[in-house]
Amino acid sequence: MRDPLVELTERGLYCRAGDFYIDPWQPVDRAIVTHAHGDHAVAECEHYLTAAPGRGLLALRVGEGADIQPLAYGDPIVHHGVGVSLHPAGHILGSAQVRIEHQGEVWVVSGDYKLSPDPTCAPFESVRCHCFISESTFGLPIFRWAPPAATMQDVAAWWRTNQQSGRTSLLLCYALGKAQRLLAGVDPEIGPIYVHGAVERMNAAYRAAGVRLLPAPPVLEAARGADFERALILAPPSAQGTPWTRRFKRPVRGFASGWMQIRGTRRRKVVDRGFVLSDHADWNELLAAIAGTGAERVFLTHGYAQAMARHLRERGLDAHPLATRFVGEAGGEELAASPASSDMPERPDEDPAAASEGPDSPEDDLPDAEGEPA
Amino acid sequence: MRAFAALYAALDETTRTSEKVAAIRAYLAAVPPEDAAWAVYFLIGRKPRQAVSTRKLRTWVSEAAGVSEWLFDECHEAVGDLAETAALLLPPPTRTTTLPLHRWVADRLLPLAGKDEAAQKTDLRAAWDELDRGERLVFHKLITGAFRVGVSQRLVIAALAELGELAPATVAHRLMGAWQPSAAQYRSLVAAESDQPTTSRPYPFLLAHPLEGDPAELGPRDAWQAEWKFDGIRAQLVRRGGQLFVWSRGEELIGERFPELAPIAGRLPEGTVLDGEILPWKDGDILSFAELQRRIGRKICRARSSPRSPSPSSPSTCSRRPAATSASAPSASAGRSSSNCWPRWSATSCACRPSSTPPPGSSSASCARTAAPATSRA
Repeated sequence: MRDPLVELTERGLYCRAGDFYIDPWQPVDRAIVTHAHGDHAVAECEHYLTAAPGRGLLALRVGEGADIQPLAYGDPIVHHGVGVSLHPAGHILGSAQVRIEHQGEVWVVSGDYKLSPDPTCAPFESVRCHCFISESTFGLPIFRWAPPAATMQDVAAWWRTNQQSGRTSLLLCYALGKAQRLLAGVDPEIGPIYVHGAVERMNAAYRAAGVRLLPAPPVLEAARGADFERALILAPPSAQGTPWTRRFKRPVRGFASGWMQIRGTRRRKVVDRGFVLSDHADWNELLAAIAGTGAERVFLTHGYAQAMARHLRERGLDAHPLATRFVGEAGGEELAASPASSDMPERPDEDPAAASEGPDSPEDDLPDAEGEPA
Repeated sequence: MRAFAALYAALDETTRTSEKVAAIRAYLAAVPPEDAAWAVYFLIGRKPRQAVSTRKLRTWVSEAAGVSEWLFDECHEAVGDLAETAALLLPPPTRTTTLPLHRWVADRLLPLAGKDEAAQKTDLRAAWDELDRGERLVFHKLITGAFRVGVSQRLVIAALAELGELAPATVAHRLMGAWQPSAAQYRSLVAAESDQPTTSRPYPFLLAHPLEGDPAELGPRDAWQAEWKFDGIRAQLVRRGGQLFVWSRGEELIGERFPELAPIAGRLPEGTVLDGEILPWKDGDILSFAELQRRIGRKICRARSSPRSPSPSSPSTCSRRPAATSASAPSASAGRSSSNCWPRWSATSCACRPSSTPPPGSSSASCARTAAPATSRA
């Protein structure tokens, strides 16, 4: 039997035949980066190869001075006799699957991906292969997303309701990918949209790459006396509870993430409303993507990898989990690391804390320990 | 069902008391009284008995969703809630339902318990095909007897009181005892004058709260009286219409378990309500709580068939509250105090109440000394 084309090493996924890494978690000589999220893109590698639309985002992540070679989707290159090409993964701007071909054998490393439509990036492209290394962040059948358009309507309805009671809609979302998707998907006629500085940096990179996004000024640049009561504010989850949020009077907090599918996660995040919106494939999309590759061997890198692998084995595939250090969707780390216990208590009926709560809940005065997040 | 599921979601989504009360009030005002009656019944924590075991639910959901049972368990572990796991796993419904809550309860939910497995499964499959995720979650919680929502009875009472423009104490009293949800029952719950029969109805039990702050917060000491706190079974004896009703704290009729109390009925004036502790008493001494525990599990006791059991009696130190004879009395009583119906507060070792507001007819002898615990429950 041949050596595997891609193997798991201490530094990350490694292609020995081509002597390069894919999404290494330690600095290496040559790294192919599937996308610019922190758990896939490490700084201080000597050379980077990434899909052309994501070049700017990767430079933001690993530094402008880094040696980053952009490669157009579908363009093949040969390195040490190994054929490499990048194909859209539909996850965020510039996200790519890595197709590796050597001596007639084809492997594909998916990175993170989704199949549902997203106006801010190229759609997922199915690539035939012998072996598919797939993410499985949401690899349980409880994760099945509603069409994103329906979720966008829910966000719009929530925003309007908050406006009617004169309260700011503070929507927490990952600054890279989710924020831009929301900006592109929500009805701009409802009111003004402002963003946190971390989101603005990503928006600028998207605009520079030619993605059309609505105007959404940073909160700090908004005019004094800006009408935040009518506004939708997009901010990363780390902004919650910081003094930065103090400028909004009694904000209603939402959180957009696939993890919001579970009521318990939303409660632990202490937000008022959860929107199920993910840049990761849900259970059905994972199964469809895996079937679409025609692969007989499947490795699952992160998320519910054990369960997904067992399910695929029951269906006759040679499927195994692969212990990478990818974490998947931000906001669910604690859940992915230690799934909730089987008997998580519900809120008790006669919760003394709830009973003592006045109409003005103290949760509006969260401690300002963290300061403004970077 | 849809409106009730939406209410459940709204209550689940907010931690603010004021928003919870507003959501309950808006729901009750919008739905037919039959639905409102059942909603109140469920929200204050009363539930139909479990119709379907969680084991069966797991098996049938796995089957309908096309997942192995081990995968169901993996999902359950991730979600942490069986009813929710089942709601998420099932395939989307092909139909919708406009059947109101009371019809769901009467036609679809209550009959389930009496059916055999095959019929239960058929009924569940039919229900799943009509209910969306949020509705299924509520439905599963109701059929497995696990319905709980993050509101206290106090919030439900507040919403009802706002709707009926009533004193919360009046609503609290009307919710006491045994009642069957119905349109008439709900209307009388929020009506200015209630015409529901009140013969057996107890008063709300006021509960002891541990004092969290400094005792000085309670104000001048002479505004309070201390009472012995005995270790018995809290109960109300209601003497009305020539009958005696003995209610437990859990609002269960427990008279049959304490036949020794029956002769007391004849000695109490009509319209009297005693709120206190049932204590085992022998030769002038209080016996241990264990003697009482023997009675708790039993349905019926005969006084003469339990010769070793001491005869329970209400101690002289219990709060005596000869009851009001009209339904409006509790609110009148509440009007004189800043708390609920009667100001009764128990510290850890003694029961105290402001002596400035003695309940009508009660002994006004105030007890200034600090009482020691009479007995302590093992």
